[in-house]
Amino acid sequence: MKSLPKLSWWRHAMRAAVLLFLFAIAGSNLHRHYKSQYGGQVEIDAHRGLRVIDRLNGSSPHLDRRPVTVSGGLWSFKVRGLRISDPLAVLSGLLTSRALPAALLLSVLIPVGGALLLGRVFCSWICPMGLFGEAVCGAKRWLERNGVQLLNLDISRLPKYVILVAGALICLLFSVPFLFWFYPPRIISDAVRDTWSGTLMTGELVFVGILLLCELVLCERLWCKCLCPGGGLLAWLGSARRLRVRQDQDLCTSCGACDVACPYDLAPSHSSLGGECDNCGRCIEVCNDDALQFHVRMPRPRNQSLVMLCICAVLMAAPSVATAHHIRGIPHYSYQENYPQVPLFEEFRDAGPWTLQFTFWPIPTQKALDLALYVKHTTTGNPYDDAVTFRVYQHGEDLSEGNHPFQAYANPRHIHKVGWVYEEDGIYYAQISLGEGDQAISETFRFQVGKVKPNYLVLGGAGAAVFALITIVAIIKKRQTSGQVPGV
Amino acid sequence: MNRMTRRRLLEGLLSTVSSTAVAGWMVRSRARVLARAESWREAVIRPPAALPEEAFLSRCIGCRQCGDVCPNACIQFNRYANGIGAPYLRVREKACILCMRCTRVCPTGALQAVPTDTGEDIQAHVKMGCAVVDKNICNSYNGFACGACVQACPFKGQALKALTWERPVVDPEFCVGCGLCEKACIVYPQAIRVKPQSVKS
Repeated sequence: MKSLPKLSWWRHAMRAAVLLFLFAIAGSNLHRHYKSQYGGQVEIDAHRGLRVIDRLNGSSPHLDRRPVTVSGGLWSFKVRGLRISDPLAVLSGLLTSRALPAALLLSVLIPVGGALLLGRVFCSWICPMGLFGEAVCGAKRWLERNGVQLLNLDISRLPKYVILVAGALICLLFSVPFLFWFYPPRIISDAVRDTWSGTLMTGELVFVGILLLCELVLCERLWCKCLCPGGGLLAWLGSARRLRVRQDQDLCTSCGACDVACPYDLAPSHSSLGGECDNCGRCIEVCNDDALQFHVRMPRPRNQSLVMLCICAVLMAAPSVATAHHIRGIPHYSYQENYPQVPLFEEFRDAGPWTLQFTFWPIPTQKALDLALYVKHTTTGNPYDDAVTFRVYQHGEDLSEGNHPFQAYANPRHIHKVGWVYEEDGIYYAQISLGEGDQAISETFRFQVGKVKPNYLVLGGAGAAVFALITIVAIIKKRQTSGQVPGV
Repeated sequence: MNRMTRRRLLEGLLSTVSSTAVAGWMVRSRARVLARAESWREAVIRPPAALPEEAFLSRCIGCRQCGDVCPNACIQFNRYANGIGAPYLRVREKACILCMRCTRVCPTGALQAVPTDTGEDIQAHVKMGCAVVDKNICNSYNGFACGACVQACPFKGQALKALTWERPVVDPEFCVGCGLCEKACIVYPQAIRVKPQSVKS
C-alpha cells in the first residue's frame, strides 16, 4: 500500500485528465470540421495545434464526415447517447424556463445519484476549480512555511447556500441564467475549449483569477468552501451520503494533524463531517495512526436494489443513434483568405433622413481596406448617389493633418467605396460627410484595424515582479529566522 | 444551541433576501444587455427550430453542444451579448446547411428536435428568419445578371425564384432563413440579407 501514490495525486491526475480531455475533444471536433470542408486543409495547415492532430490521425486525403460523438463541457455534455448535466445547470434551466424536458431530467440522474451516495466527489475528483484551488492552497502553505505572513480568515460556510438560494430566486424572477455567469467549472471548461479558436483571456477568466488571488491572500479554498453555489447544492444532496470518513477513536491520539490538513476547515478528529466534506481524503493521508478510514455505510438491501435499478434504467434509457449523414447544400467556397466576404466592421446609423451603413473588408495580403458606405433613405428606401467625402485619422491625430491616401473606385451601383492603405495597426476614425448646406451630414465612425494586442510583456512582467518580491521576502525571512535560532 | 441555530437561520434568511435584492437590481440595471432585441440591427439569427426568442432564451442553459455537433461550425456564442451564452448565427460568415443535428443534441428543448433533414421536415419545423433583397444594390436588378443567391438556395425555385436576368424573388412562405443566399451574395455590402425571426416589423 505504501508504494502506491497518495490519493491526492490520483485526484490531481484525474482532474488534469478531465481538463486535457475537454481540450482534446474540442480540438478533435474542430479538426473534423475542417477536414469535412472544401479548403479546410489550408486552415489545418495554418494552425499549429490542428497540424498535430492531423499528423496523429494520419492525414488522409478523404473528407472526414463522421458525426461528432462527444459534445459539450462540464456544464452539460453528451457522449454518444448518454447525457450528463451539472445539477446546477438543470436547476437553473428548470427555474428560468419553468419546464423540465425529459432529456434534461435523465441527464441529471447520474450526478444526483453520485452526490447522494458519495457526496461532493465532483469537487474533489472532477472540478478544475478544485484543482486550481488546491494548487493555490499548496503555494500558500509553502509561502507560509517560508515566512510570508498571509491571512487565513475564518469565513462562514453559509454564503454558498445564500448564493445558491438567491441565484435560484433570480433565475426564477427574471428568467435569466444567473448561476451560469459566474460558475468557475463552466467558465474554465468553456475557456479550455475556446483556446482552439484563439480566445485566451476573457473577463470570465479574469474573475476566476481574482478568486484564486483572494484565496491566496485571504482564505484557503475561499470559493469552494464558502461561495460555490454548485458545491452548496452537492453538499445539500450529499448530507446523507454513504461514503464517509470514519474515525476509530481507539487509535486516535488526538494529534490534530487531520484538522490542520482539512481544506474545508472541518474537524475530522471530532467526527463532525456533514455534507461539506468532499471525501478528498487529505485527513486520511496525514493521519499517522491509521485512525481515519473511508467507510461505506451500506443501505438496506431493498434500497440498494432500487438504486441499482435506477442506474440501470438511466443507462438503458439513453441509447445512441448514430446516423451516417450526407451533408447537403454546402456551397463550395474555401475558407482561404482570398474569399473574404465577411465584413470586418459593420455599423448602421441614422442621420437626418438617411440611414448610413458603413462597412469595410480587408484586401488580402496587403495592409489595406475597402471602405464602403451605403446610404439609403430611411422611409422611401431610395439610395443616395451624390458625392461623399471620406476622411480617416488615427487615434490622437489631428483631423486637419490626417492625410491618409485613398484610392477612389468608380462607385458600383449606389455604394460609395474607396480603397485605403494604412501604415500601422491601431484605432482609427472615419469621418464621412455628405450633402450640402442645411442638409449636410457628418458622421464619425470609430474602428480598429489589425491587431491591437494587450501588452503581454507588461502583464507578465508585473506578475513576475510580484512573484519575485514574494519570493525575496520569503528568503529574507527564512534567513532571519534561521539566523535567530542559535541566538535565542 | 437552539438560539444559535435560530440566529443562523435568521442570518441566512436576511442575507438571502438582501443579496437577492442587490443582485436582482444589478440584473435589472443591465437590461440593455439582456433586452430582447427587436430591431433588425440588433436581433440575431438563432439555430434552426428554435423556440420563439423569449422562450428560447429562458430555456437555453448555454451548454454549447449545438455548436459542437454542427458539421459546418456556423453556430457562434457570445459571452456578453445576444443572450449571454446562447447560440446564434452570423450567416454572412457561415450559413446554416440545414443538417438538423443541433436540434437533436439540444438537451433542453430550446431547439425543438427535427427528426430528419428532409425538405418536408425542414419546411414544417424551421423558421430562422426570412431573406430580403435590396433592389438598389443587387446586381441582377441593376443590369448585371448574377443569380449567385438563387443557386445557393436549398429550396431553389420555391423559396428563392429567379425572374428574367436572374432577378431574385423571395417567397416568405418557403424561406426558412438558412442564410446560404446571404453567404453567397457577391455584392459588398450584401444585397440579400436574412431578417431574423425575432424581428417585430
